[in-house]
Amino acid sequence: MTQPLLEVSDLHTVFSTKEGMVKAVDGVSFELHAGETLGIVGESGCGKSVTALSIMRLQRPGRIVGGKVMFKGQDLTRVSEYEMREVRGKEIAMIFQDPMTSLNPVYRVGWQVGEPTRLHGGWDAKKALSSAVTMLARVGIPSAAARAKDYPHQFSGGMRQRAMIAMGLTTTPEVLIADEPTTALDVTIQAQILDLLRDVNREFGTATILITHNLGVVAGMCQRLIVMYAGKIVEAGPTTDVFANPKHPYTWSLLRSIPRLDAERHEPLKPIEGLPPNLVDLPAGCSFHPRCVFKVDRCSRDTPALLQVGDTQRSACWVTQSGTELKGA
Amino acid sequence: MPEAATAKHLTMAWTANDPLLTVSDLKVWFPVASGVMQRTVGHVHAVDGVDLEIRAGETLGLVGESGCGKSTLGRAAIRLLKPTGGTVHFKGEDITSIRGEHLRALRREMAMIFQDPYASLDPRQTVGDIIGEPIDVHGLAKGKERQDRIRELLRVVGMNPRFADRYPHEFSGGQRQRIGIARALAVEPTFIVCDEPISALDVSIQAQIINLLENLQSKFKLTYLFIAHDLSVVKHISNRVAVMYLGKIMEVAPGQQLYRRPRHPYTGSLLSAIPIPDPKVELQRKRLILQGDVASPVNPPSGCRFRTRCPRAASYLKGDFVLRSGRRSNRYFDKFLFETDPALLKRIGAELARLVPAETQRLAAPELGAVLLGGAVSLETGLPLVLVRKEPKGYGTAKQLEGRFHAGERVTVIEDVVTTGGDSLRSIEALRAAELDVIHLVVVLDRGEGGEENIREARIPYSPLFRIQDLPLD
Repeated sequence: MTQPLLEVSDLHTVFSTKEGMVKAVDGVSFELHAGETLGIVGESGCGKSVTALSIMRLQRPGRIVGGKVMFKGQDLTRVSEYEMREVRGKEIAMIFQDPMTSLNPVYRVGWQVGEPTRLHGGWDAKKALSSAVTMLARVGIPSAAARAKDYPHQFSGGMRQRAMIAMGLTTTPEVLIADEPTTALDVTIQAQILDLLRDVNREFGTATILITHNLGVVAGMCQRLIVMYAGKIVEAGPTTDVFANPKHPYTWSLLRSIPRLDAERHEPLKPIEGLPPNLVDLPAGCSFHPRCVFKVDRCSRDTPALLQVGDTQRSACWVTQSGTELKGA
Repeated sequence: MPEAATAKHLTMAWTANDPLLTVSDLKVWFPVASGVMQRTVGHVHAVDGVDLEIRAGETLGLVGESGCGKSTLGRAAIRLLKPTGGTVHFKGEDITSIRGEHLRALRREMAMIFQDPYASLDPRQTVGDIIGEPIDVHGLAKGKERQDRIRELLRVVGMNPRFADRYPHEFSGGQRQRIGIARALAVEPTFIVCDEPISALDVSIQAQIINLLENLQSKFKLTYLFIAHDLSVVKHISNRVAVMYLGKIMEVAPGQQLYRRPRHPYTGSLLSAIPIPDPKVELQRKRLILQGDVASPVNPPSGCRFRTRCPRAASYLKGDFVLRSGRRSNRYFDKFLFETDPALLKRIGAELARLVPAETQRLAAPELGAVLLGGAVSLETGLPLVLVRKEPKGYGTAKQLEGRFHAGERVTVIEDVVTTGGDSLRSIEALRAAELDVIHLVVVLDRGEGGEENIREARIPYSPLFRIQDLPLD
């Protein structure tokens, strides 16, 4: 395999809160290869967004307390803020869930979309604007030249997200991190944006990290998938394999708990009992064990590492690591 | 007894076989104010002419995108909002404009579960007082009986009865939603509007709440209006699903049928947009991506609301035809009928008239919808039009047509939508039995259900006005 474009190893990011130290990202390692779309799935508070923010060094008030983020031979956790600015928005771009709060309401859309090329490319205002208009048209904004003069509030939610994507692409970054890019949008608009992201990936070859809680979105977008729970990666592997044959009880249970549009018959859902853990006060051993239907004694004592299980997947589970298949009624 | 409280207001006999709730031509408009004087400059047509029936014991799902009016419809259905127009009947009684004590009595039969379990619980009240409030308001129980009831309600929703003394902030989203459900159950309602009850919850918690709602329904014989934007969830929990777009219902059908065979282009697009959590399915799916955004509800499009985004709007009449409900049918949308907008009818009439052969002496229309079209053609061509009536036992007989046609007259039949061709062939048969010379058929063709083939086989010359194109769905 070729050298990964981005390599995150043993990343730890913590937050100090009144209740105590929160290990939002607790030893996360993964690689991103050129041109691929990698999904990071998990529920709120699992650390998926903080992982992305840590890569961009935007994790404040959290602190990166360990690990490396290797990108083009440098460790992004150690470069100066000045050097980081050269990477951020130029080589790694990020789009966020809420396009309203991530666009500045007092600047025209065209000006903002052109900002990365002015800052990083040193382009003058005119050239930046014309490239912004081209990019806005490319992401499907109708009459882009005219709409570039609009303010963000004059755009609909879907158009704002398109504008954010356009802004991210003006510098043709190698990595695009999309953090819940469609969560705030309606499904028909979500379909438009996902289609656009697929296009971007195909046309520009931009490697994409897609962060989402929606397993359906991952299924249609990502070649590889990482499942996070309570700050840790619990399972990783090719999307088709993880869905067909999950190797972690959390993934297994999650897939059985969601209704499917193409279900033939009405069968009761099989919920995951209990609640996601409190990050300040995690259970000992595997964080998922209080909700796990497969747990064995060891699960409440020792924390499993993320190890190879089967041919293509990795799982942090004592049960599957010992060769047991996940099966159940 | 809730029944006793409202029984005296019943205006007509209602039986359990009748719909529990009937909404007819319901409209809820909100004024839009502008300028220094805050004059009303227009209205948001949040709900704009909706017909729905909810049967006792069923779950009717209501899906649509944000701003389509689904929450407003839910609130108006239980009179949390006063409708601008139309009527709401509950157990046969018109509750559209009841007030005071009467409305209070009604509130004991209806409840609502809200989307946001953080905003819908008073942070300064204990869980016991939150659940106890409806009990107090309606004077249902006091003292120890009240406490017992609160504890029982907590148990019913799967919570520890001791939690009655705690405050909402001590609970997670899923537990708060359970408290909201207990509060809704406190009045022992028959009908509950669930407004996005799981959208704010974590994925792993959603299934718990869905299952709880299903269990409660069978335990207490509840009827639900389940409002959500997630069609997968709605299809799972509902018996029938209504699809809403810009203030109007586009289609109503049992969930499975809706999924297998969407009859409205919007439903098709919506289904196609929903990701299925299975890469094998997802990677092979054909995608139908709707262009553009939802139009403004302040100034909704003329004709069909969906026309600005519809992939199937017929080419040269693009955007001008609307979908009308066949009132009594299970499937609200079964035919395309044309809005009685005179200007539009004139345009369509002109188009149709070009297709009518010059030697035609009379026009015949076999159905009411076709009569509208036929009427427009008649105005355009000056040819007399006769309705071939649909009788209980088949189509107009030769006898009934007597006196209105003359034997040997050359007739062109106008048909609104040809699906299987059966209706057209039967009316043509009736006309021929009356010794009329059917020379031509002018039709709107539906997508492939053999209509065109059947007409061709019957060797009847025909001209399609336009063809409803096939939706690229599996």
